[in-house]
Amino acid sequence: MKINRTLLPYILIAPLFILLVLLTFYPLLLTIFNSLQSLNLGRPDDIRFVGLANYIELMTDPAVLNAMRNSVQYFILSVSIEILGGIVIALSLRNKFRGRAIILGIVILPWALPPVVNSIVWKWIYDPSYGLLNDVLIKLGMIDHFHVWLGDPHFSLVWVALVHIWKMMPLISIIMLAQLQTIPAELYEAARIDGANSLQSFRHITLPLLKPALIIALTLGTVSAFHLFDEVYVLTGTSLDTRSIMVQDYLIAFRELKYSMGMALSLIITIVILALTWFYNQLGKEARV
Amino acid sequence: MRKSIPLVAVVSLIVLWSLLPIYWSLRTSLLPKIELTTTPLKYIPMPLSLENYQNLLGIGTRGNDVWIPLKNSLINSIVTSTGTTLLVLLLSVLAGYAFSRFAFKGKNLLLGTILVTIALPAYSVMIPLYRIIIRLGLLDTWVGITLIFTSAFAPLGVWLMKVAFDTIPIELEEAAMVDGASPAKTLLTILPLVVPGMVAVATLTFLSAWSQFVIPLVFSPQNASPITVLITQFVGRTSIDYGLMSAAGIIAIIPPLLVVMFLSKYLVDGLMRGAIKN
Amino acid sequence: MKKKKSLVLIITVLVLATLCFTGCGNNDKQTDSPEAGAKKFSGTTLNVLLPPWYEFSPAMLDDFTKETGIKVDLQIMDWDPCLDKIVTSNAAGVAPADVTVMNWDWVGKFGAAGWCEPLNNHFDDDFFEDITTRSLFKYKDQYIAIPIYNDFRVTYINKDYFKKAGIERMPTTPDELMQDAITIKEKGVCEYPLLVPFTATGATTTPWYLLTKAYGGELLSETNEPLFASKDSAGYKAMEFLIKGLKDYQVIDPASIGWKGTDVVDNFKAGQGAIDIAGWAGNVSLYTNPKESKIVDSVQVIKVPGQNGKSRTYGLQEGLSVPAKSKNKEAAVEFIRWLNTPENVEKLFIDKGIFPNHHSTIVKLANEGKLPGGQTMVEVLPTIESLFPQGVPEWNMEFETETFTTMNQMAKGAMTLDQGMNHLADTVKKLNQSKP
Repeated sequence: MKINRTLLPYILIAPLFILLVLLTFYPLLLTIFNSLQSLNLGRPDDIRFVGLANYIELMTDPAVLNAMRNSVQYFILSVSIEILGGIVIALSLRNKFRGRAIILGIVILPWALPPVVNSIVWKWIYDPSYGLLNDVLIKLGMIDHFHVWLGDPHFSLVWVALVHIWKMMPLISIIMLAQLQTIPAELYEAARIDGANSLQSFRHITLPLLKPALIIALTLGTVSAFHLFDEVYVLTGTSLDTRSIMVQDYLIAFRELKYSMGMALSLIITIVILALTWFYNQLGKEARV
Repeated sequence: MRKSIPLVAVVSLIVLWSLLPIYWSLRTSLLPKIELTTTPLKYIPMPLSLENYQNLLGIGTRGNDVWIPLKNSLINSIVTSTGTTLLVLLLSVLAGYAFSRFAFKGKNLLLGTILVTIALPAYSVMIPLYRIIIRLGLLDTWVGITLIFTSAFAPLGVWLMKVAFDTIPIELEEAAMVDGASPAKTLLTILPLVVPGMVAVATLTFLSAWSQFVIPLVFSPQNASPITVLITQFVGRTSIDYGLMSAAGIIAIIPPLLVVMFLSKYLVDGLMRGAIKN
Repeated sequence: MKKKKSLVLIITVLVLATLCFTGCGNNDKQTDSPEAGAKKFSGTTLNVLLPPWYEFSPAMLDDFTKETGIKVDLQIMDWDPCLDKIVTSNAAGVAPADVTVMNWDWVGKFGAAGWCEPLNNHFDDDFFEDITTRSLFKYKDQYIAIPIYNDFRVTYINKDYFKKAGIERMPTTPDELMQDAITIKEKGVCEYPLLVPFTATGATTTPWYLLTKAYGGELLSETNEPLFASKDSAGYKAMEFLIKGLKDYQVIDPASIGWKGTDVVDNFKAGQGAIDIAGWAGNVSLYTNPKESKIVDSVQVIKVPGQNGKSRTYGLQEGLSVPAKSKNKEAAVEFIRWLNTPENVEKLFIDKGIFPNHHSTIVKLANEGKLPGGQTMVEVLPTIESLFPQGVPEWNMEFETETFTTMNQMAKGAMTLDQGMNHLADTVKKLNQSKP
């Protein structure tokens, strides 16, 4: 039975909703409207309604397609590694041991680094001449000459993705950990009595009960992978091999000053993310059966 | 614990993965400038130089040139991040509770509309938002930046709180309702049970707000400008002061680190209580 | 009504929370009470938005306030954020500040957008006459900014490495320069003597633009058509110089694919290279500072080697502009005028290394021996050209982005020299067509 007071839920939601209407929904409507125009900040007098022309042009623009391909690669790499790593970290830290609070603090630390700082940190790791990575790998005998990690046409995207993953993994881990805590210990106890091994109890207890957190983690991983900007721009500039869709959007809207086009692209990015998260939710519903 | 050896190995790896890059940055901040481009690389900052920290804290050769803006920007960051965290907690506990416990008309639509905004890139609303903030007279103020951050991070908070409330058995509230408790009192009864969720929301919100760069750059460029914006100003025309930037970066990690350490205690306590109860 | 109430509630809660957490923290923006007197703009607060190298000392700004009664609120931001802020504000129809920085290559775009107040009527002809680089900020006969930073490029040589390789005379043509680099490498003095950046960021274009001038040509024609497509063009030879230096002669470090402009400076001052080909003139003080540099005694500045010994260089000027939406235009002009007084121009150079644009100041400083780099700088200064003598094309920012991205691809080997040059030529043709 649910509490039945008609107005109460609306009152509870109202403060947030008003804030969102003012600072998100209203600007968003303007942006949707602008995306259907031909507004170029460099030619303020030439504003026409062009319908979906911007969207069509974007979807056939080789630079946009290239950036979208890169972003899909960032997405696949980051989300898979973050989720796997997040589960491993959450499972390792769920049980009490001495110094756990400190280790938890350390694990969350990378998330505390502003991207601006993060990019400086990794500059001195990837630096081709004075970076830590080259030095360590040479000392370990794993490479025989200095590599220009961020200048490699095939793998530079992976190195940029790693910086992003390093920052995002703590977030995913804490969400998993918070959810793990809500699973009653007696469930595992019961399973053990029924003769389940740890893999089986993970498969049949942990994983299903972790599902809400998993969907949140997948969503956040996806959103942040498609929103990736600072790390890419600071570490590799506008390089075609690492240029993310947000960097492309920035170039269109704030460098080429094609405002309508830039807004259309930012809405396309939103739609892609929403489609993916809708898919996760469907997947989550199916798994319930 | 029978699994302790692999566990120790995994935990050590996790610690190394998290700390090594930060240690490297600490090293950069403690080396004299000229040693940064010297081979072989120095793994330990010897000769040690505190020059960057002295300059930042106003006891070096640069006097108060760096300290005063650093102090102001730290205050700005602390105020806006804390304000955002409190406001997001308040709004998301209320809304999360509503979405979890009530059946009402338009519930799915409302929840969907709120959650959709998580997917929006900051750029997509920036320019219209800029006009609104100016019209409200909130440009370059703590209130303005806090409201923008809140509108950006509260939807995730709502979602996390809804999930947290969903996992609490409804019987507890029903008991309270039977006793004739008001809705506010009922919410307070079960609030302790969602503390881990609230801690997660608080941690995420504080750290997200702390890391922001583009939004404060545009909306609070000067008087309310945070530490992230200040750090990027330590660049010269043809050289970048990596030592000073790294040192400022290290200082910029301290407040969120304290928050995390303070809050993670509650995360642990939440777990302990759950374990004892069971 | 209810909505309004809730909003008030939110703001109240927030303000209370904020106050609780800061205690005595204050963030007041109040201005000092205006000075008494008949000063025209007394009491005005002027917002000034500039990158970090213009961080004027508070004492200097106080002088301005004493003189005019105008208070200056100086806002410092790194270069890219500065541009972002200017674009965002203008796009929202608001002035980013009352005075902002302006780059030579934004002129086409900002001029077309109408974001800057034309300054012709605010200054007299004599004022402009003395500024040697004024034409860089001209958009359709209107000056939309006043030059402040006279940035131009010279070549820096590590003469110890040249000596060790047995080279006695300094290079005067690009081909000689390349030959010297090869000799230095072959003699084992220095593995990668030539320093240039190849990341996909702004500074990467400078060596190509500069070498195109050095090879005796221009990038674009009078009608903005590309001049660099054919193999015997200056632009093509300039790019060939850079790409062959990296790939064939290997006198450029492969690490340069990851280098920005600042990495070139860092490497040169660490003694990791013999030639900084497109070096910023102001770096002479950095290279000769023993706290920063390991090459204090071996650095030498020379004119950029040019075809047939004719050196050329171009200016990358920064200026000050007044946004069209500013509400304090007159006071903003006062500030710019004050910065351009002979005393202040000299002071900015001595204190902050801001190279002057005023012919009279340059002559004075040279006569007094205050220009570092000595005779070389004096000879170079009057010869600074505009990269685009026909005027900066409106689409220059797109072209610049495409250029450094393409140069980065060529350096990585993802594009050949010919593919890259054809792509850039096509880009220019497309940009020309997209004009209304």
